[in-house]
Amino acid sequence: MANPTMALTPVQAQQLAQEYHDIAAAIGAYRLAQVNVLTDAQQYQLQNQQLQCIQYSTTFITAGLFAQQADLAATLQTIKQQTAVAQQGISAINTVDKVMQIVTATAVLGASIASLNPSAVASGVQGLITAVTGSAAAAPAAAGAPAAAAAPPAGSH
Amino acid sequence: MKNNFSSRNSPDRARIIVRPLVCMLLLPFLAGCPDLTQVQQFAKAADGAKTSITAIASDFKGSCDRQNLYVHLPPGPPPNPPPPQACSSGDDLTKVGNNLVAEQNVLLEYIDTLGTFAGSDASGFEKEAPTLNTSFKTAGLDTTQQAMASAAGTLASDITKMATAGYREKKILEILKDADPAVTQLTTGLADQVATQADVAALSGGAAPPGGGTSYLELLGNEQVVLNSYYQIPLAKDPNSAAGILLNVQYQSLLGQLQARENAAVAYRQLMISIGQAHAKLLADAQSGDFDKASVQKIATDLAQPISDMTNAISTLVQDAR
Repeated sequence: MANPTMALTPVQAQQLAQEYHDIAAAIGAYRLAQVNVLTDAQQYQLQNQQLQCIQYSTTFITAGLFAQQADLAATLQTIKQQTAVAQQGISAINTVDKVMQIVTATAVLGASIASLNPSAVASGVQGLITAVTGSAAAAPAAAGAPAAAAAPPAGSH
Repeated sequence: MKNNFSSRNSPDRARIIVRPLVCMLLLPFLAGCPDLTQVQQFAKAADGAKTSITAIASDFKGSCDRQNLYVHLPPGPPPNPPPPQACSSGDDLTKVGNNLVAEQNVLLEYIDTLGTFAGSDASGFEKEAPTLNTSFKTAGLDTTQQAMASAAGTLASDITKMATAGYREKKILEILKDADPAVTQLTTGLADQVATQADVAALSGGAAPPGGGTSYLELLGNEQVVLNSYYQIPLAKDPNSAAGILLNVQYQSLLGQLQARENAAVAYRQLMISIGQAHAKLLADAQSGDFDKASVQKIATDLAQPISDMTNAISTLVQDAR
């Protein structure tokens, strides 16, 4: 029965890569030490074996790096989730800002109604409409009657 | 007879009532929360390294390509079969480099979003408030009423700022807490892919602790083996001829470039570890509520050196590449 292939762990890959690296370095040291003894053909043959060992070493380095990256997958997911939480927080800040504007405009409208000054009421209504819609364009038309219409949501705050 | 309280004008009275109320409401948010300036400083400092750290990822394949150049062919016709390649993992190393960039980007986006969140301000109302005041002025309110409107605007602005600041501080503390183990794991993981602790120890001649996986620095180690053999053997045969001297100059130049890449890898590791430590420090300070100006400056100082080292190392690489 054939043994199933097992993926290398980063540590195993590192050990194998180191072994082949060390053999390649040893071959290089031997080639240098015996430079005056070895023939060109022998040098070439040893070079090829040295390159083959480096190739194996690099293959194991690559396998180890893939394994390390696979191990980080869950970690990356966690950080992506927290980034999304921060992004939602930024949106929430904008919402809070908007709510505060409306609440404030509503409070100012209340003060203007209490002043019993018709033009102040009109201005208060305009402020509320601006806060709600983000535009003052509709204000003149809303100056009179909509004061009451605008008030109920204000009371709900 | 009016008492002191009722003799105050209306805006002051409003301030007296509302301010303590606001402080009481927001007090729970302010205890044990991060300093938003510090979070912004952390994000700003990390942002400075963004361009530098991407250069390393593209050199995974670069090292492979260079290794394949250091092959001597025997005299005569091209050998059959051809000599083996020192590196046949070019495509895989391109993927590894791309994955590293993707992983880095997750970290940088997190830090960047954290900084944006810490810096996001409820500035909308501040723009609106003067408009409201002016509109009340032109609407014919008397001075007291105008002052009331103005006070309401100022208070609303303060409340908005404090409410959103409280929200941000509370939320950022939660995020820092939830993300910290992952940030430590990711920064260590990124650091290890480029240079493990054992690699750095071996490079400086120290004892190498076992384990830690494989790294870019080990690719450079393989590159050095083939580079040395490629130059040292012909130089040993013929060291003093003009060709030998020229070859030696070329060899020393390539060794210098390799050294610069090794320095960049070590700087990258240091930077990633520093980012992880700075994040952990932010969390620890936030939980202890121990913030002051010096603490903010320390975050900046802690990150400034590794960022500077990384930037210098990469600029040396870019010069060498030319």
